[in-house]
Parts: sequence; structure tokens; C-alpha cells
Amino acid sequence: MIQLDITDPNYQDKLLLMEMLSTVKDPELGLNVVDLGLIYQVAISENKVNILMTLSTPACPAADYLKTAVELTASNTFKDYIIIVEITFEPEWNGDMISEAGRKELGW
Amino acid sequence: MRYLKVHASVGMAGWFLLLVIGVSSRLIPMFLLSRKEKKAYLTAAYYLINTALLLFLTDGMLFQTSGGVFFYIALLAAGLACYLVFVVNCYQSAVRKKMDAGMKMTIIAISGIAAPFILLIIAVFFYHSTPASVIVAYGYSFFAGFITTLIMGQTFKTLPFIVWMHLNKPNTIAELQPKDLYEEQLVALQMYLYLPGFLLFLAGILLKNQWVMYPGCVLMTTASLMYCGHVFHIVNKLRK
Repeated sequence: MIQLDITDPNYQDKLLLMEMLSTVKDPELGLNVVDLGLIYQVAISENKVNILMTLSTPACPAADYLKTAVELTASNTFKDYIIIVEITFEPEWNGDMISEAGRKELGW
Repeated sequence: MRYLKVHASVGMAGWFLLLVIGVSSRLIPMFLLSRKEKKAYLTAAYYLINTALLLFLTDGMLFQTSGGVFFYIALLAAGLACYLVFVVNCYQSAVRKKMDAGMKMTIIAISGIAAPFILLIIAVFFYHSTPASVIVAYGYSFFAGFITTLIMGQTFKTLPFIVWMHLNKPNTIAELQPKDLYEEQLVALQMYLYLPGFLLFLAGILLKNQWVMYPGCVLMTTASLMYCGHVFHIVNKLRK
């Protein structure tokens, strides 16, 4: 799970974005993408929001849905911004990236 | 009759078993979010089961000897053991430890994969003295036990997701999740009805006792009707 830097000038915006992204759930696991550790990086500049995310597996059948849901959530939160969502598999996602709360929910 | 035996065994071990092993080896790690997959065990299972099948088929069709049976069955058992080690390893390394009823049924089906083959061994090794009930029990435990339990469990892992994909409009955030499209408790109830029913009916076959079969039959029929109704309920959501 990514850690936000409190000294970052965009800290509040990033915090808001992460909170909003916490409403996007993986359809199979029922856990949100933030707690799952699928969001690798968020960057907010003047009129642009960049989100770097991954999927639990490259063959994830909900890949398109998750990307779209993240994109829509970000654009609903930052209405006049250009939203760019990129998918990466570097580093490859693994269970250690799940937050403590997420692990509890999955019974780990 | 001898060719029919070869045909049936190759169909069950060759077609059904390998199909189930192939599909489940992709689905189980995906649903459990397994961190490690010991694919070497899966490869070993593939070669061992196929070698057993080829030898059994060649012997059964051309030579019809009885000495090789021990060897084929040992190969098949070793292949199954490798597959089970693969599944156990997937579970041990799973991120998702809490299993829903669908996944529980899948694991029960796979755990019981050995049952029909134990009955097969009894039927093969004691061919002349084996009562027909053991052969019936072998076929029954394979289809009504292993395959049916697996299908009943996996239906509620895959069908709600497929329906959800159809219901979900492009460029919208889904309000419902696949788990909202079916009743988890109903799947659990279906499992609690079907499994004792299956075991009672199996006991009835082996004991040749119809009075043991009847309650088993009632439980399985109730579970089957619930399953059909539940599937219809899920698919019906597409019409709305």
C-alpha cells in the first residue's frame, strides 16, 4: 500500500483521491483497490492526475472494469483534470502488498 | 465388454479427469489468490496420468494382459497425488483464506477425487469376486460425487461473475458486485443437503440397501432443485 508524504504540497488532494479510490472494489474479492495494494503511485499536477496501478494477475478478467472504475472515480473527484491511468506489472503484485485491514478481511 | 471397460475408463480418466485438472489448476490459484504455484507437480501429474492412459489403452485394445494393471494404476495414483500436492500448496500459499460455499464445495470435490479411484482399484484387483455394486459405486462416486460437487461449487464462482459482466454497462461503476447476484447461504444449504445425500446413496449402493438410498435420494433431489432454481434466479437477472 502506498504511503503519502505529509510534506507533499498535494498531500490533501492525494489523500482525497486515495479515499475516493477506496470505494472501488475488486468484484471477485470484494476488497477495495487501495487496501489490495493495486494502486502503486498517484501524482497530481496543475491539471493532470496520473495513477499507476497493477492487477492481481495479468489475466485478471476484471482488468477493464477496474481500470475504468479507477478512471471514473478519479475524474468524478477532480472534474476539470485530465486523468491518466496506467497499468503496470513491474513490480509484480503479491499478497504482501495488501494492507493490514485488507488481510483481516480476507482471513489471512 | 472388455473394450467397453477400456472405453469407459479412458473416458473418465482421460477426458473428464484431465479436463477438470486443467481447468481447476487455473481457477483454484486465481480464486484463492495463491502466492506460489508449484507447477512442477502439475507437469508431473500430466505426464504420469497420460502415460498410464496410453499404456492402459494400448494394453486394453491390443494385448489384453492383466499384469500391467498394477503399473497403470500406480502411475495414475502417483499423478493424482501430484495434483493434490499442487492444490494443497495453492491453499497453503493463498492470500484469501476465508472461503465461500462455492469454493468449499470445490475443495471438497477435489479432496474426494481419490474415492472413485479407490473403488476402481477394488473393482480391478478383485475383478472376479467384486460385486457389481462396487463398479456401480465407482461410476456413481465419479459422476455424482466428484464431477457434480465440483460443478455445483464452481457454478457460483463463475456464473455470477459472467452475469455481472453482462449487467455492467461500459464506463460506469458497478453498484452491485457478483456476490450480490446470488445467495451465499443458499449455496451453503445446498452443500449441506447434497453431500450427506451423496454419502447416504453411496452407502446404499455398497450395502445394497434401498432404505439407505431413499433419504439420500431425497436430499440430493432437494439440493438439485435448489441448484436449478438458484441458477435460474441468477440468469433471470439478465432479463431485467
